[in-house]
Amino acid sequence: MSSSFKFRLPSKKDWAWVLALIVVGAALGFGVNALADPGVGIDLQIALDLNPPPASATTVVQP
Amino acid sequence: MNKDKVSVWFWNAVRVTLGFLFLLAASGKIRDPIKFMGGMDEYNIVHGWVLPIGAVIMPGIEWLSALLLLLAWRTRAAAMLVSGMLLLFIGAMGWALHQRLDMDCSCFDLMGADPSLLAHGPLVRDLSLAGLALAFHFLSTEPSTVERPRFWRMLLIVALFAWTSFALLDAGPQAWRVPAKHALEGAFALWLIFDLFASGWATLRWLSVLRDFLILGPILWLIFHVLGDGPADLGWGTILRDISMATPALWLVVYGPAEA
Repeated sequence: MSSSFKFRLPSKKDWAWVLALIVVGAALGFGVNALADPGVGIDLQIALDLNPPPASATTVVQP
Repeated sequence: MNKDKVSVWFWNAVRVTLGFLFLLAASGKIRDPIKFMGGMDEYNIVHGWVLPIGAVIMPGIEWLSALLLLLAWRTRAAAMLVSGMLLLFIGAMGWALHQRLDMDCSCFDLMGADPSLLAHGPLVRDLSLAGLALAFHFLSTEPSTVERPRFWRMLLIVALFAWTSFALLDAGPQAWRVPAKHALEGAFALWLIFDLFASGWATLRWLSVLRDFLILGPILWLIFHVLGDGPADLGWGTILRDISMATPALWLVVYGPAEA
């Protein structure tokens, strides 16, 4: 085995890059999903229940 | 041929193979995130808000990691992410097997599967990937970031974006919407051109192209044209495949050279 093989744990710089990649990758994922055609992407408003219908619309009025 | 040259060949091939695998895995998930979310749900591990968020975020991270591996830029960090995701997948599949869930792994939805070849496919595929992992372990010498002209890197990023969106996501002009397997061949050609001019427009590296073609061609052909996505049902073969993919990525992290 050549001398270029040295056991090396990830440095702080490596971890920083990993974190940066996760953040940028997540942003990329959100961006692509937002740009997807209706019906193709995941509607996060509905999936996360961020925009529930107004209470008045679901309230059952008892006679 | 001395040992150093051989090691450059294999290191290069394994890095790019991992990049292509993740590019394809990510593209399938980007193309149909709802199906991917359903696949995640079938594992019965995560529920609630994690499902849609995970289904949106993970393909983006996969795509970006693949891009860095193909660009030979910050490959150490990209390999850490790739190995982390593979370990996550392996854990999830192990859990699903433990629960005896009858399902596919939702790994490469884009490529589909060829049932007539699945009987011996997983064994050959895992053997080939294990061979790659061993080669990666013993012969890697490529630096984490390979010096290349900034313009050329930007051009490849744009080209890969266009390739992903046109060929795989059914966007753009109709003429660009090609079947996934042809898209794979197109990507392979794209990367060959990239490597041909890797040191700038003035430096043709014909031997590099021959090297890439001889190494990457059979590997990608074996994995996708012959073997498909592996077993239709989730099985130990699928888990072994991901372990064999995770191993070279982990070796890249642990034994890979320092950043330039």
